[in-house]
Amino acid sequence: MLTYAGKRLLQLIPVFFGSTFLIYFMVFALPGDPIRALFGERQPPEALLTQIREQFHLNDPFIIQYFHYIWGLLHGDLGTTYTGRPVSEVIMNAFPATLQLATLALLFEAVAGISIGLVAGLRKGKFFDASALVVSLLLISIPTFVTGYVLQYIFAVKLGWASPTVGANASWGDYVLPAIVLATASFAYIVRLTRSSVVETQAMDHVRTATAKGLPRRRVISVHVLRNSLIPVVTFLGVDLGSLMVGAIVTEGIFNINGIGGTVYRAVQLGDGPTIVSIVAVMVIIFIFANLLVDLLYAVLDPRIRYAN
Amino acid sequence: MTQVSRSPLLEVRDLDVEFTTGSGVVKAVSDVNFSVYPGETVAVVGESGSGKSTTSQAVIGMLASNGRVTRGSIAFNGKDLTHMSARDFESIRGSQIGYVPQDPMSSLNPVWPIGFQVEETLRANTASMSRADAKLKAVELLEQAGLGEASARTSQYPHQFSGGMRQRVLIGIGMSARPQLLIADEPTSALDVTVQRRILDHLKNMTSEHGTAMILITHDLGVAAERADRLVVMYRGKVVEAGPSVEILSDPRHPYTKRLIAAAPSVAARRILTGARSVGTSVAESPTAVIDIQDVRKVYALRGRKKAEVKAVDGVSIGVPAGTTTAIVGESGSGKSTLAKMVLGLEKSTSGTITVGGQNIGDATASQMLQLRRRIQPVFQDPYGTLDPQYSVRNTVIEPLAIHGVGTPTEREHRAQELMNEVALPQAALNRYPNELSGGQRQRVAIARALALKPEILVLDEAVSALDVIVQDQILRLLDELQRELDLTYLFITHDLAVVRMIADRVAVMEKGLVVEQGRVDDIFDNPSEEYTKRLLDAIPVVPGVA
Amino acid sequence: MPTSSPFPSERYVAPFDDDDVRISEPTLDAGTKPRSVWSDVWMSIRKRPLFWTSAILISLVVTVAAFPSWFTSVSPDEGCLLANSDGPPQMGHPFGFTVQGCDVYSRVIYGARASVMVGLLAMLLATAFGGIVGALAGFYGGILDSILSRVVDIFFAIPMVLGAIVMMSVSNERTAILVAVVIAVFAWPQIARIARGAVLSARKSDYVTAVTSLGLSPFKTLVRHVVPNSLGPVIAVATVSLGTFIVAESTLSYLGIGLPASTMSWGNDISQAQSSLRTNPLLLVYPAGALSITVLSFLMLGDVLRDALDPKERTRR
Repeated sequence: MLTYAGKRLLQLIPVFFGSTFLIYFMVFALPGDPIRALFGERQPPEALLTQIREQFHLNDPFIIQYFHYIWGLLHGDLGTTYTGRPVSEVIMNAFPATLQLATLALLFEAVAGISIGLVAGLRKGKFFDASALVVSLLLISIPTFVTGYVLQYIFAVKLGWASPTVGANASWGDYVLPAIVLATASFAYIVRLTRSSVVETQAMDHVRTATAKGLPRRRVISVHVLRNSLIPVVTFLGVDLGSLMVGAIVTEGIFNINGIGGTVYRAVQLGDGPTIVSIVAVMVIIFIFANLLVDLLYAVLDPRIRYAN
Repeated sequence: MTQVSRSPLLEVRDLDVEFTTGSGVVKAVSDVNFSVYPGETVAVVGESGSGKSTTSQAVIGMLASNGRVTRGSIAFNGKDLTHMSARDFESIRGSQIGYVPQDPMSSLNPVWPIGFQVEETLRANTASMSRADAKLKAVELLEQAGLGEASARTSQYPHQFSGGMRQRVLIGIGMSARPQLLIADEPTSALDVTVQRRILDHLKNMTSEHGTAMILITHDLGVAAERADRLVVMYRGKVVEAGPSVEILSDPRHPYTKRLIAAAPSVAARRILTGARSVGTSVAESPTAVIDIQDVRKVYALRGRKKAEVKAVDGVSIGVPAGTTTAIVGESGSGKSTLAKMVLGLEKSTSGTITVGGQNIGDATASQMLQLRRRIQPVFQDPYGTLDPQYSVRNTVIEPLAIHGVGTPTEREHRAQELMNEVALPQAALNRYPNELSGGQRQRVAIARALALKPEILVLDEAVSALDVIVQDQILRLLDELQRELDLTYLFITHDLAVVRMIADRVAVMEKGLVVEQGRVDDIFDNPSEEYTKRLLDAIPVVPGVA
Repeated sequence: MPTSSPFPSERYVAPFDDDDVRISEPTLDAGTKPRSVWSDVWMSIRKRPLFWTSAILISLVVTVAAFPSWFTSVSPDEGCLLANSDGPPQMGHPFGFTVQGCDVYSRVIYGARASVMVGLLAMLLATAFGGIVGALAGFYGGILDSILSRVVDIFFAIPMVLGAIVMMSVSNERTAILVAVVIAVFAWPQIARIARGAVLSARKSDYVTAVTSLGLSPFKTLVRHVVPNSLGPVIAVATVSLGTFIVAESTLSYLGIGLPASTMSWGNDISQAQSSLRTNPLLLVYPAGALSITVLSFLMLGDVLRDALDPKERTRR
């Protein structure tokens, strides 16, 4: 297990530097004046321009600039927004809301997705399975912002069951509707993945053994089918975090949630380049470490990985 | 054991099983009758698709979801199993009817420890057994299965055990509740030959000790005859012949059984194919050795660790006389396939020399190598992987000619037709694609491709191992004829000593990268000098009543 | 042991005729038409209603995108009358009017082109690049594979739309081509991984070893045998990704950093509809519906293709 964890950590290093470099490269090394590009058509205050030049060490050679940037990143210095606030402060303020939203969404997509996927897989070819497949495909094909507006309109505006926006001191209940919006597409993917994984596992020899040795069906399904089917689903949750982040930008924008996604949403609307770049870089780093965590979890779930040398 | 009860333990009557598939209803088993008495072993023998496994699945109520029993009855202790509810069946499986699966590598759940999987079986089949009791009992059971330091190893996972060990665990699981009947579905076909014998012995010990009746499902007539009191021979979903093993073997009456017995290599006592000319006694230094392997080693460095290496082939010298068949026999991991790859020039040897037709493979230039490839060609094991699924048979057999720029399009077409004749396929087969062919037909096409450039040598890497007995026999005979007509030299890689006896002149026995013994087939078979060779020979089923 | 067997010794021999002895092998006479792998695939997909549904919908969408004027005679941006602002459906204007008084139906029709073009172009770019990188990594292995796989990992660490948001928000220009390129830049790693896996498994097959033993050069082996046998999974995933790229484009346009506001597209229309959501929610429903149906058709087609093309799903005979 330790060897495996060490190996994964080692693999992480080039990915970490590579992806941050890539973002940095996209912003500052593409043709054109990066500062102009960052602000689009808006003219930034002169003081900020100087500050940014300094912050990104634009007078040094490119590779040195990058290392300054990484150095700052590693020290929690994420730069400043258009209005001059430190990005790290913005993130700290916005983090709780996003954490609440993401926790609810993950909980919903995992619990509902796995349950429905399991039932569909066990009833392969039956009506429930067919409907689950069609509905999940439909949910995947509707963009999050459409789901967001439609659910907001129906449940908040028309029915009044929830509030259309989530304020500063929101309770967990206020996050239910946005969490469902955020989770919808991922939920549908998990249904499909669990379903096919269950179908595949059920056909495996060791499940036949479990049945043949006289275990009750309930135990065969929970201890042997479901347990093994979860391995690919857990891996998916790591990859899916990326689309969840994008979804959070849209969802927090629609429900006016003061989270990290909402901050990016507003920065995009305002053309606040430095904020977008800094926060997305942080998101990518979170994504990388979350996937490391998922890989370790994968090893916990699958002894073949754990004991491989 | 001598006390025979009059009534059978299991009685299968007029059984029909059908599967509903995308293209309609398929009858997999029809009109099957047989019975099993307490304590006896009945073998159900058949090739793939004979319905033997379907029959056993019907007995334990584990047909695939699209299959069902449409007619007949299966009486177990007088109770009809075909109309039993799913819940009632759970109380029969494991506790009254045990099951040993085919492939030990995939039949244990990889994510749970071995001990856990034994314990849950015990607890499911024994009323009110505590967790602690189950733990103790599981250790005891694993010790009986032959697991050393069982109490320490219960927390290990399946992948930490060898195939043979896993099958012992599975037998332990199948026997854990002391069932009256054990169904063993090809219990050894995925294992190495020497392990096979020990597992079958273990199975026999376990069942006879507890007076358990056994249904042994197998494709191997030799295994069936050696291990079972009675045989049920199945073919295309029907029972064609049934009765005491010895009588059927010595006096088969149904034409299919006759053919099966005639084709089964394990029953053959002597080289039945006589294509090759008599072989000289000299070994590697023979001047006519067309393949000369001298002190060849292949060492793989293990990734990520210094010094750790695997010696796949560790100093092997073999000479293959022209126009004869030399077999290299060994179990998995013996290095025989690596050796074949080096002879084909697909892998480089770490040291030593391989000379093929006077050309040292090690120093061959690219163009010399290309010329050499015209003279030595391979045929592989898996008939489903050996042909490019997108190439028609014509394109497959013409490709060698195209690569080497041989002939005009008309001449190539002519050669393709000639090749079809040589491997006894109709001309029309040239238009077909691999997915339209049977395993045996595919293997014929693979041979045709290998012969296209008129090579002198064929390297046959387990070329008949994946085929059913009768088809295997046909392919072996085809190879024999071709050898005579085309004066071919064969390097025949196999794990099956019985097949060696059928077609090889010389044999080299490999174990763990070394040749432990080599010489003329008759000498080695009649008078093996090495312990390992003896073990391999012992592993060939001894059929009672057949010389 | 067997000589004094205590078990019943009666024998049974089934009645037989000569036919029973013949081995059942496929007859290869010239009578029937040969079935290649691709014709087998066609046979299996043409039985599926899902295939026909998606095929018809996709042809419709593509035709609309190519020839919008065949479907409406109303110009989508000219002749907008403020008097018609938010107006209900009427004769010749089945979906009603936008806030600016433009015909919604014709906007939905004309919006198809941008979405389909961006999706298609991004798919072609990502598949070509990802396919080539994946194939080279999988086939040649070794150091090349290690390097390419690390590069793939690096790009994979940046979620597609997130990367696109950064690139589009710092870019000065907004064109359909740029949006497609940006999407492809962050989408190719997924296709590269699929292609690498498919090539790797094809490379290990015996037919490749067989042609290597015949002396076929590695590059020709790759082109003639490995690539054709690895296309299935790549085609399936490319079809599905076309759907997800259309969603990505609409998300960018919705955020205001995708296609320029002057370009007629479903994403832009959805974005504009949000301001009048409470007064006229249907303005959102029409373009969103068109978008979703298009995406759904590609997802369905991808699903059908995966079932038919993925070797894991293909049954051996």
